Amino acid sequence: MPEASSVKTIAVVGAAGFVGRQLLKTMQEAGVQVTAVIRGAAELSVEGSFHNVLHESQVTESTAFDLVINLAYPNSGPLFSYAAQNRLIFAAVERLMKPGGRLIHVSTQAVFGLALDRPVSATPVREVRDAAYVEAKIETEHHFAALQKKVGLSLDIVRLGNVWGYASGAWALPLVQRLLTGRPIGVQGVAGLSNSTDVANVASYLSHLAIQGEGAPGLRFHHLAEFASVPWSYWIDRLAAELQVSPVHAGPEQMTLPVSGRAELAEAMAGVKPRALYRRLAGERVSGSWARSMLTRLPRPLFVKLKGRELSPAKAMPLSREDQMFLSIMSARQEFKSQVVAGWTPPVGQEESMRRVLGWLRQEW
Amino acid sequence: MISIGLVGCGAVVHSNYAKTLPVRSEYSVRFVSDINEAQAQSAAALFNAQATSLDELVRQADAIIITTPPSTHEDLVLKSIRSGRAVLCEKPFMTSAAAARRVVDAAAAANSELFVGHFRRTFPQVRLARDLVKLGTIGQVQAIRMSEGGRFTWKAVSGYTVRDPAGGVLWDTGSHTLDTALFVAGMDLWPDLELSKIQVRKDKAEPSHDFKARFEVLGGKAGQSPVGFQLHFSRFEALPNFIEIIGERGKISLSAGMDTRVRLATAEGSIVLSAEEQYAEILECFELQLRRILLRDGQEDFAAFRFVGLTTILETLSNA
Repeated sequence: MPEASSVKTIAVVGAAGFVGRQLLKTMQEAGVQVTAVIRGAAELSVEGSFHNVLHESQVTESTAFDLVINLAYPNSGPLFSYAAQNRLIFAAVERLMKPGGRLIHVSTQAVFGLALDRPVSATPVREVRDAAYVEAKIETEHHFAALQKKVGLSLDIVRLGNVWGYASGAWALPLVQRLLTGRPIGVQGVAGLSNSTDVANVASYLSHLAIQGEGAPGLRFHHLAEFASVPWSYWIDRLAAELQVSPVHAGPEQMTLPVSGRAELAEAMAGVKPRALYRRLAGERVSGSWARSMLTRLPRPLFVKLKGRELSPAKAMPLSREDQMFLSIMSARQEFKSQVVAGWTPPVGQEESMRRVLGWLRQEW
Repeated sequence: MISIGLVGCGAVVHSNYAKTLPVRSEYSVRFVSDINEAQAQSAAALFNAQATSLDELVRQADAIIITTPPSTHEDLVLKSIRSGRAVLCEKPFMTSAAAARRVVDAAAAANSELFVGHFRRTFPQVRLARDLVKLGTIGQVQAIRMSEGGRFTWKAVSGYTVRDPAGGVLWDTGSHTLDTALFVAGMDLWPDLELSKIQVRKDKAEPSHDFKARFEVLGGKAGQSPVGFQLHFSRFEALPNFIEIIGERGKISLSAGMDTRVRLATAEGSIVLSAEEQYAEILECFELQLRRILLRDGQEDFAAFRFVGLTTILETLSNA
């Protein structure tokens, strides 16, 4: 662990989240005093005597820090409020920074699409229409990059793979939950890459950057997913064995890949689309004319005679949007390779990461 | 039209009741009351109701819903019960089993119907799991495991969740999860519960934010063996949100949150079953609970006597 002597004042925005709490712990172990900046009723999650706690509403221009680490992002409320939530985060981060200061902004691989279906490179991404979460994350990168250009600050954008590990609400938890209750956890015949990173490694890397990073003006991109090439099936099979259950897989015909913002928009507009109105009037039929619908109700031999062909095979019910989004990530075929600074190695290896998750799952005490 | 009086106008009223009570024509909120005048006025505006004194509300309303912090429930329920009136008390019901018995007896004596709000009883997977246990698919229940945890974001106006001894994670989140487990296992109908072999670990005195316990519950019909419980609730840490009911011939696993699926496992293997009912969002289940109670259509699941056992467990564990 690097020496803390070179570090001045540090603020962590979004400190009450999963990564934030692990980062506070890691910084504490390194003997680095930080100020945890939180929103809402999250005080409970960052209780502790070592770090200071500052509520976002208390941030003023006089509370400026040498280094700000931003982990905050819009994660609740209606999707259309994400842009407004982003504005509040930008304002809080900017108020916390000293002129010409340093910012480490934590982003995500999802800027290349939830299913990682756009080309990956450690460079700025272009704005695209996508899921609200993805758009918000891209917007944040653009905002801080523009700020960097304008005032010449030192900006490190760290894009994280899928953050899993001990008590990970984003990945360990849903995998366990889906295994326990038999919701689909993968797609038949698709071996998706996990593109994962252990939360302890994320905290270690951010801490390393904070303490040892050069802090020179400029924009640098980092990609962190030390377990990028590990397939999801590796984690899932071990969890399933522990829980003594068999994973459930969705049929490929149930999936619409990739999930995009278009589906989200369509959902929001469903109530006002003429076709939706027609469907409602026509008794919730999904497609086709009344005549065609009646045709399918005829006795099978008569139907075949009239149509000249057999009925199409039965199709499984489409998955819910939540399942579609989850499974699209589970089906990623592209690898989100780590691109990190020299001199840092992840302290938690693949087996140790699995061991920690199993320990959490067993709730041993 | 049933006129409803809302006692307490805090976060749950603004977040849940405001979105679910106005959607029916059979009942409407006519009166609201809160010791915090601003909250009362805000709720009155939401429901187009009259902000009034507690006494006036109790005098005029056909049905009363109590949504105040748990330490105030006993007095308010006793004040609200009246012949023929439905009184719905939000969870956690009472802070002691003795108080729970007192209000249940008082309501029966007054010929008032007293209910407790535990809307997870309407979740599709919960009802399916309960039916499977009732049908004897896993045999006699022997053990129950459960956990639920995550970042705590509920903003109670009164702040009781971080101040009141009955506001910690056991009483707040745990009462939901425990109640679901008792309901599924049919143990909410046990007339008397007794706890033994209790082991508790928690982060601090109540209100605690991380609570683990192991114990056994005795009671039920003659011949019923003690049921072993293991639980963990947390406001710090994400935990699997699940309940496992283990019987002599198999086990049933279900999510603690709204879902449709239940996993039934026996020595031969496991199968995933899905309930027919599906709801688009959790508030539909909240509304369903209100409808069942206020229109007396399936209200039996929420009758107050079924929550005395739960209160016994909560009280015993929090004092352990």
